[in-house]
Amino acid sequence: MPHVMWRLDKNWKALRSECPWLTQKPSEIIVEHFRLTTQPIEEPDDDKHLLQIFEMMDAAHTLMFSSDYPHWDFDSPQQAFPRLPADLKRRIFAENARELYGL
Amino acid sequence: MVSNAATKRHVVARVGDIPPGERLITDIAGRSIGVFNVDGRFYALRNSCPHQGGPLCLGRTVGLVMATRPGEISYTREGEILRCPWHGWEFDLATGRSVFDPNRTRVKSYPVEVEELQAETYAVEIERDRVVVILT
Repeated sequence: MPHVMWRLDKNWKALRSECPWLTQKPSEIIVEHFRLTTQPIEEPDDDKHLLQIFEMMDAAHTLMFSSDYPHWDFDSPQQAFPRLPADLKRRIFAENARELYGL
Repeated sequence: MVSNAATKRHVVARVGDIPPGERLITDIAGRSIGVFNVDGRFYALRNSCPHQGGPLCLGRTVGLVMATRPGEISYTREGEILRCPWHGWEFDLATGRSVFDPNRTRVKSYPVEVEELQAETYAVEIERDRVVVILT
């Protein structure tokens, strides 16, 4: 996701006139209007790299936990992810979904 | 080119040397600067794109494409937008500001005046209407 955001921003600077109705950078539109879930996920060997990726994609606003149920290798919310900062964990496991569904 | 270091005023051309729609790229005090004539209005921009330093002033001049919603496209200000030949970034000739991020991405622009020259001490003829770029 971070890479896609950067690529879209880069191309938009050169090709803005092809889609002049965009009033924000594509990455800003993604953060505002797109939500992603955590399955499937490719995790780097080093836990801190996953946190860096979360930061790059503004996971505090774009990412929601998903269990992958009913697959046998589903993600248990007790087991998934390395230790996350409390704020970020609350966003990913609850608040982002609450906001999206208006709960 | 006639220059006056004290006032930073640099005579770069006679008006007739840069017809409407044309440009002159010239060195002023070691800087490459493009001087553009858009329907009789003159603009000067640094010939270096803030993106990667490409020769911005060699780019095409186009109009401004805008849209209030998808499919409703307006095309105005023909000839007033300059696109860098390297990656197509758009700049407003009048201000040097980019179209996509006018507040943060800009190229240096210089005021241009057209002055009527009355006489020169050693001139054999009076040449009027010089294009003067003011380094700021």
